[in-house]
Amino acid sequence: MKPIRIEQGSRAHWLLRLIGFGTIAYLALSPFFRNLKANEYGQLTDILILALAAMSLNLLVGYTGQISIGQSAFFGLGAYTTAILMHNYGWETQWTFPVAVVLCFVVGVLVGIPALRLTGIYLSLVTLALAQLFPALVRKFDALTGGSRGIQNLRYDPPSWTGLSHSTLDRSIWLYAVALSFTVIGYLVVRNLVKSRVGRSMVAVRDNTTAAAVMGVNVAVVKTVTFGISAALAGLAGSVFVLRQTQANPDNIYYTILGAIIFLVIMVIGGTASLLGPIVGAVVYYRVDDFTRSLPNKDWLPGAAKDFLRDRPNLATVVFSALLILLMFVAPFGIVGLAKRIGRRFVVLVPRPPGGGGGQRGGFASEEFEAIPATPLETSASALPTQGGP
Amino acid sequence: MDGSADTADVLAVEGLYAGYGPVEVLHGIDLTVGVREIVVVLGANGAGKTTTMRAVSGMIPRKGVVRFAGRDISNVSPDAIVRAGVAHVPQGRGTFMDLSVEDNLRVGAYVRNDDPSDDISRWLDVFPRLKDRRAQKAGSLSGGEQQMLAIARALMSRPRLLLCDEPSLGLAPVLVQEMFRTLAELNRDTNTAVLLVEQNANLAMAIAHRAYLLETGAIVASGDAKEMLDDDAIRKAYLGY
Amino acid sequence: MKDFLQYLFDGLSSGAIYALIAVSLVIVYRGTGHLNFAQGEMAMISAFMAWWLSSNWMPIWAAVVVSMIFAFALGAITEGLIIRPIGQRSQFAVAVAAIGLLLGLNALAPFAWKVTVPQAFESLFPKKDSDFARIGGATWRYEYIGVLITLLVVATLLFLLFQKTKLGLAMRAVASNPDSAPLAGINKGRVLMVSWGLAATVGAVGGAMVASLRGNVDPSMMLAIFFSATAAAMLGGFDSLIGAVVAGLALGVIENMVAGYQPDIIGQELKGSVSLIVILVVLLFRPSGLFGTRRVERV
Repeated sequence: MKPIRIEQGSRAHWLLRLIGFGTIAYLALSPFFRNLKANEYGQLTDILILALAAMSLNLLVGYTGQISIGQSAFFGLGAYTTAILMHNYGWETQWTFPVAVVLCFVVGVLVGIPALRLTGIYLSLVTLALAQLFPALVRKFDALTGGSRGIQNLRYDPPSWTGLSHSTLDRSIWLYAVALSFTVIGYLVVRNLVKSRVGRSMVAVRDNTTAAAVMGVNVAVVKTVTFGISAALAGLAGSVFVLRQTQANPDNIYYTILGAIIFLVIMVIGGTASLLGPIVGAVVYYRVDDFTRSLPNKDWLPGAAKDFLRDRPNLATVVFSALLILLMFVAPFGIVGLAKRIGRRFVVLVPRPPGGGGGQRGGFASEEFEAIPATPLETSASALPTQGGP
Repeated sequence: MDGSADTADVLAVEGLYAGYGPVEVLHGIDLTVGVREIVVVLGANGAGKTTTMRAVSGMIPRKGVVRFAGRDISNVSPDAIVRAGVAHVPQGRGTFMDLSVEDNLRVGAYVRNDDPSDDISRWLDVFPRLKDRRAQKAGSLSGGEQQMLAIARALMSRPRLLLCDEPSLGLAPVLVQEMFRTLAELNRDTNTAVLLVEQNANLAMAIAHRAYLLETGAIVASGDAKEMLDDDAIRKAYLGY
Repeated sequence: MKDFLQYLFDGLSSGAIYALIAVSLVIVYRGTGHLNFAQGEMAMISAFMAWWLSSNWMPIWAAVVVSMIFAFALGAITEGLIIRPIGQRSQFAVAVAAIGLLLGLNALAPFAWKVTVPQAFESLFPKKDSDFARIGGATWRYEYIGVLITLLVVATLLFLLFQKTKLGLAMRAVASNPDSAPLAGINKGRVLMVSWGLAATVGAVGGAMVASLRGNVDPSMMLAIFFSATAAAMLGGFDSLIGAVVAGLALGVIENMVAGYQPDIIGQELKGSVSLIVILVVLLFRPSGLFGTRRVERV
């Protein structure tokens, strides 16, 4: 069966885009109209937080071509910024967000400067160092951060103009709205960076600094700014996270290197070569995590399995690690990559033939099926001979 | 020696197909190398000479029959083929740059179970320039010296068949002469058959017993080396004069 | 002077552990070209294995030896089943897989043995309060000396392996020119597996040392050490065993000195930052490390 060919910019294309946009809008906004419980809003908020953190990582990986296992440090930095400003200095919550963003951006840029010199595994090592260092720093400066005890009782009451009360339910609705807004902002920021002329040229020269110099792309500046933006987004996610947790504690897994690895897992599961990948990854991660946590108590589980799983910690993590490794064999481009591959059997977007008016790119739905800067997974795999098929 | 007919040929290749992925480079070639023979395969760039070498030594997947001293090695792994008595000097020499000259030779003797020290001394005597540098890292040797080292390394395994892939590549003419002279001497003194591929092969033809002409993956001519040298058409096409 | 010696003695023992893990990293890197992110966690799992065996069936030294064999198998199988097949697709995917292994092994220890708190580990060396030597006014505990001696023994054995044995020659050959090695009759796949197996074995020794000094096994015990060991391997130039040993010892000593002389600024919590600074300095000024071979970039 030959795939249906749809021209970019054609009416069919716009229809496809509309459907895509509509679906996403529905999924994002319907929680406001369904009467969910407070903890259900909380779950959705958690998913968005993870998605935003994974998005920030995706941006970084896409442009530097290397793995970063240090987003947890910025995540934690944003979290603690919000916590400290609210608790130690009595700030109103909404003003802590811009501070967290700016602070993380600056620190990200500072990290980015030496990182320019690094190739291969070295960037990963520096980010690993950051991730290791952050909890230690939190514990060290305990006067500021509350050390191992942490900071408690962080409460984010909805502002009066929303018409929401200070009840738990309304607070959770408001936090969901905030998380959703930030995620959308993050998505737009990443998307526009990726689609910009600078963004595209960065990808083209990512692995070849000589070509970059010849082409006049200031790789150094772009890489540094990317670090900053990536850090800022992770910090923003952290700020929302600490509010969701209502407390800050250096032992929380997401502030440590294991958290950084989880962000990586989410990014890879969802799919690195796509803008929506992190969101898909976050949903999958959250649901599977939830599922494995409640698995030992499920009625349908055979008794032997139940006995085995009783009191055994870390089932979810073990499953995810195995899944990650398996994915590298089976679907290195994650779920979205797999979906794209399958989708291409049915529908193929073809460029408009020349002379058919200005090549107006942009729009929403097509970008879901266009790669974010091809990450190393995609570029190296595409160097392999493909055995027929799309 | 047993008197079976198969030992007349150290190497017998029939209907060999080989390539890289979807691209087929060799389209069914036949060739033989007899005991103590030096056989040259001539061909232009892209004719498939290196592919032939790799197919014989098992480095790439192939279809067809490859027989070494009567034994079918068509489906045998590269390291087992070496153990059987085939040594391959690859294009570019395949030197172990970080290892010393002496260690390079030792690697060559990997498939043997005895102490290779005597042979190491022997080959260092044959190649005095290598002897001077025996403890140096092989990467510091010149091109010509690395070529000598590669040949010596291959001979350390006491092979019955030596495969040489463009040994003259990148060498100054004087060194090329010396190298071919050495090969001819080795062939005479050690009972090692040689299959040689070369692009520009004036000197190769001079030391060879027989030759094949390979053109885009197929053998177009074969015969006694001296006769082919005398053949004007072949000389003009391949030897340029 | 007494303080200096004290920091030196303490630093040499933590440095010896860094050196052991750094050596594992270098063996893998030289042998197969990868950085094994999971090296520390493999060592941790091996230590858990030793703990489990010694709790139930064997004396501690025997348990450690068996855990080394287990580690060899773990390393070899990982290389053959996971790293090599994935490595044929993409180097990036290998790094991701190694990180997945890090996470997985870290979670596996509590999962497999159903433990949530550190478990007591019998010491390999004399550990009583009185087991120390007095040198220049400083105390050098016997167990610290023991760890250092273990490192030196392991390093010597490795040196002999690589320089004097056929297997070592094969490993060096594959590391130097992996395409040429099969032409000499070397089974490349087997050598790659042995490289990872050997590295994991050395790592297991390191893990046992850590557990012995701590007195317990805990899933998080190798995370910080892995990082410092990587810094040491980088400092020593990733392709040099001697470099890894010297750099590991040096890093341990430097860390201790810095933390000792500046307890307020650095102190115990931020010892790891010393490694971070080392990494940054090395990368900025001498990317090939102190002992490694310089690679020239040709444009």
